[in-house]
Amino acid sequence: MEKEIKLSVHDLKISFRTDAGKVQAVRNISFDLYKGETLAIVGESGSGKSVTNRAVMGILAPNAIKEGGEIIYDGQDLMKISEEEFHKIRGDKIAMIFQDPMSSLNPIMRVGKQLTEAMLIKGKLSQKQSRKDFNATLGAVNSFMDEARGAENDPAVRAEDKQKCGDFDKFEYKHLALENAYNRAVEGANDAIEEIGDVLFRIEKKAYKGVRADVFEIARSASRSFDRYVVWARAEELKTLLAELRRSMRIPLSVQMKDAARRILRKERRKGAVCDYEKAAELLGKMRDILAEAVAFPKPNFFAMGYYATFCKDPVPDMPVDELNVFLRKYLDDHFMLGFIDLASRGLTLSYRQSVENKKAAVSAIDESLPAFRRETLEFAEVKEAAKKIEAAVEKAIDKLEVVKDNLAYTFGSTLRSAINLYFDGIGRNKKEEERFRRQTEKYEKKCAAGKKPDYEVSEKDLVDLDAARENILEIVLRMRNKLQADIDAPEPDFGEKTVGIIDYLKEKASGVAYKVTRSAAKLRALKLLKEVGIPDPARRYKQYPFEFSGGMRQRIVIAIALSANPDILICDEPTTALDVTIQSQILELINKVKAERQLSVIFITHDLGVVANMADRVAVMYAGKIVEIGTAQDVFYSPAHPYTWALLSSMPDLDTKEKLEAIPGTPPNMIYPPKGDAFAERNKYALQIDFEMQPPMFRISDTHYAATWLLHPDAPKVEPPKSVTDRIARMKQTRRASDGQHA
Amino acid sequence: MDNTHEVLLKVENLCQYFKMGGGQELKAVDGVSFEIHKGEVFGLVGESGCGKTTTGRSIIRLYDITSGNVWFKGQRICAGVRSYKEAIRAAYAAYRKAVREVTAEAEKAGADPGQGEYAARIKEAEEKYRAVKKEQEENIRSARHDHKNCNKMYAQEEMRKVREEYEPRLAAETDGTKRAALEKEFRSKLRLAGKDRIMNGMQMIFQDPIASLNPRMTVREIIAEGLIIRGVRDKKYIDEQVYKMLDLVGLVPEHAGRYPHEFSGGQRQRIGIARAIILNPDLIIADEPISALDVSIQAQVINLLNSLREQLGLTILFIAHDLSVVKYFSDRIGVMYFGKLVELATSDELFAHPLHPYTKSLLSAIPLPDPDYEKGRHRIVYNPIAEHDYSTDKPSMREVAPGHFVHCNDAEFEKYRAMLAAANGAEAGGGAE
Repeated sequence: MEKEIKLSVHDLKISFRTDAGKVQAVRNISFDLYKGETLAIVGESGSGKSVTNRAVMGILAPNAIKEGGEIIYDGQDLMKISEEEFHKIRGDKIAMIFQDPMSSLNPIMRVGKQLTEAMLIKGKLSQKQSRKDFNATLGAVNSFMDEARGAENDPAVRAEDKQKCGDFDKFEYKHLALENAYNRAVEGANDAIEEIGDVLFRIEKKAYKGVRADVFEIARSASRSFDRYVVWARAEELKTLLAELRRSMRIPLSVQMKDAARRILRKERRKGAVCDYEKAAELLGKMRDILAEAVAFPKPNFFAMGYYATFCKDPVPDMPVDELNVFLRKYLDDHFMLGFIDLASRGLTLSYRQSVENKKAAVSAIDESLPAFRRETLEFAEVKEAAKKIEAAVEKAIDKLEVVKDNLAYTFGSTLRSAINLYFDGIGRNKKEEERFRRQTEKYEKKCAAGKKPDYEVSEKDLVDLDAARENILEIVLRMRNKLQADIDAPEPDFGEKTVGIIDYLKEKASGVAYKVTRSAAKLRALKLLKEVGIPDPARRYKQYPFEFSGGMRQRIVIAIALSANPDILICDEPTTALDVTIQSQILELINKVKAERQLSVIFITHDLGVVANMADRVAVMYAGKIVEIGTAQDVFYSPAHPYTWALLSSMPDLDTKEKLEAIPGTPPNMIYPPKGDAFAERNKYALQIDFEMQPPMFRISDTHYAATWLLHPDAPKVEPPKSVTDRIARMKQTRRASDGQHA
Repeated sequence: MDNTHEVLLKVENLCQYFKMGGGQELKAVDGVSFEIHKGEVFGLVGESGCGKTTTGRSIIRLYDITSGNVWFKGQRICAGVRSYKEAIRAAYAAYRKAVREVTAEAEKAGADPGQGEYAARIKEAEEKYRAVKKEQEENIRSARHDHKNCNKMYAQEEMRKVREEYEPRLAAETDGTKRAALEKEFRSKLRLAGKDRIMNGMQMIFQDPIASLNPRMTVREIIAEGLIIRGVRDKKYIDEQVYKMLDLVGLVPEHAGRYPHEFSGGQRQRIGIARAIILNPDLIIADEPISALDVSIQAQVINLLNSLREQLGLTILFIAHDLSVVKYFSDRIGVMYFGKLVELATSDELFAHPLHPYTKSLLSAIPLPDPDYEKGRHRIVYNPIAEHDYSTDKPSMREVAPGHFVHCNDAEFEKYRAMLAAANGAEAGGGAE
């Protein structure tokens, strides 16, 4: 299966203006990030890894110059969108975990508030946005339905269609309300079950400290679980158990009166009242049975129930869940669903066919205007005209009812425009640059001739490569054409499946609208997040300030905040560098867990190769603003190709290292005057003569593995990686075989 | 490491408590004992907040320790008094209890507790208490004295040595000019000896090279500061020494006139190291010296420390949390958990046969640069409540195998011994095959 590209960075180039000159931090790097994968970026400080990711987040320092390239996410080029538009993406869609937790938390704000703040602010916004998307998509479905039935002039049919879509709108909300209530109850029950296990264990071990507070929480969770489809038959029994439990543990009955209750507790403790832990353990055991039974019940079909509850006058019949589901499903299908699906799928078919027609038109439009782009020197007016025409045609060819957005088509216009601008601006810029270089060299030489030794160098000519820019324009157009042609040639999809897809999309958006973030809901969710990231006693921690936490705990809070917005992409900028192994390991496990659960794409920046091996699906090694090697973790660790990767691998001791470490000599180059050739050449004992003169291109080693070193050129001498690296790889293979043998 | 080596540093029951307010105390270090032999690298590992840094800082007297003793080169340099005070308090409580018991007994019998047999018993208890008090007060006095005067005592000892060396020579010298020269030399040596401190033999390298170097001092000033405080006035000698140190740590003399901000992270750490070694210390306490450095620089600093250790015969207390580095660098390793030392062994032994469940958990958390291994690695979670039952039998540090200490109680001791024997047996068997 083709992997879905979440984020695509293309030819990114970023520099910083400083007093000493222009520092070229990132020099033409490109990579793709797929859905649900972890891409690790390795390199030392100053290699541009953080800058790249700050560009993705849109938080570059003010002295940064975006020199070129694009970062494409969800049909937008993040290099070009405005700050306002970035507000919708930053934190919400792309979240970041910073290296230093102390500086990314507000020191004078309680942790709980920092966690819920964004939730509350964004909650409303996302509700609005979801509402907008929902209406737009449903409207589009509606209009295509009309068109498919040829109903432009038939008000009756149009009314019918409108009615159908309106119904969908209405009952979807009922469905969500029911389902949310159910989920909340199940969640409560599950929380209670989990906690009970823990508390029982501690009672058994006679570690009573904090047990009472936990029982208090259990009681609270358990009392959330009363729902028509969760704890219902044995609700009375559970209530009695809860009351008894509270009595035996001397827990106040009312949750609201917490302060008063605490006073009473203190008074009782002074009097020597004690908790009956044995009894509590017994009661908790019984409670767990009831809750476990309730959770094990099958889940009713709330989608169908929502329809029934909205449009049928009768109350929902009282029958076992299995039967109920069949009944409801049938009711829904008979009255609504089959008709709706039929209509929607007709609409979709029409929309698809129309878009194919439009795509054909766009292809021919591109073909017509290709000669304009193929000239030796481009004509401004002609190119502008052609670009405008193609852009309009491509935009028209976008299928509005496609759920997965085709990034290429959406960004085509802006990409093409910027490429064209680059070319025509470049003509003028090059002239100026040549002039500057000539002037400065003259001055420099004059000084030299006068016998002075200037303490600066004339920086190289920074020219726009016009040929490359022209080819780039052509390539963008051709890429679009190929994509369109591929879509035209593709067989017709299964429209039934597509209809289900669009209904799911509508459901998702509707849930976004129905998910209302109240203060208490946000708090509950924050507590849950705190627990999820492994902070013990979250209720107490919620009220503390950042300085009251240890480094590891603080980092967990930052992770919790990053996760609170349910992002698509998580950027981790050395999240564990300051932590020790145990905490590091916990945090990595946490990130991996969350990644698997939510299908997150993760960009992981680090310089610890052990961590990379743990986390990464793919690894990009950066040096001096360039990616020097990229490949899957297996590729990079077991068959590294770039000398810098070799050096990194051999400079870190592992548990079996005995010999002297091979440190990398020297320091990274000054990026104000980046070296002409391979930036690593000066520190590289395998450097060839050409490394000092020309930058190596990316050589392909396999489909997934690329490296930029002249050693891979067919004419290069054969060079083996250093012995310590080959030894280590051999050792790793050996241990693997040994452990495989054990498992067999 | 065999025990024949000279013990350079001996830490005995070190406790360092911090006041937390509200009468609460944080036991940052709680009863830690270990020895460091001359010429070895002793690694101290554990999670953040477990007290490893506090241990290092207590040893070098950045804190006044709460209880316990630290011996350096055979002299007591730190001593805390808490344990002695507690002994007095306990003795007093025992005495009060005895008095209460006796009185109650007497009242029961209807006799006057101030007379006869009862009075004798009370008197006996009181005497016992007084004896304990006297002994402990003596301990406290000596501890306070040593703690306060260790440097002075050391200086006096050094001065005595100088006098012993020069006085006979001075007396024997008859030539007036030669005698004056000798006397001058003697005076300057005596002055230097008088300024010598035992703590000069112990130096520290800090984690963050940026924060630990004064930004307004040149590298020369930073490195020479120790010598100047030590009483050296000879400018030429100081410069010589500074250049020598710069050379040793891989910098060049031109660097001496620059300021710290002009250096890269690795070079700054080198300056920190040069500052530490200029006083010819015997022991260096390296508190996470490479954590703040870049990968490519870390190896440089480790190699530098390794070569210095060979050249200067340094002993190093290496505090770190990167276990691969600790394993590579250390001869013996102590594992700390919440202020307690839970396991201590040679590094190979510790990694081959970890016994304490916390050590196992720690080792299972090390990430290695090997993707396939990492995919299958399972972290062992350490849960002290589940692992140990110390309700009846209190744990202490016990030697399970020669040189391999574990914090455990009797039952666990037997268990660990059995485990170790089984592991060794399996290895021997594997070797025979």
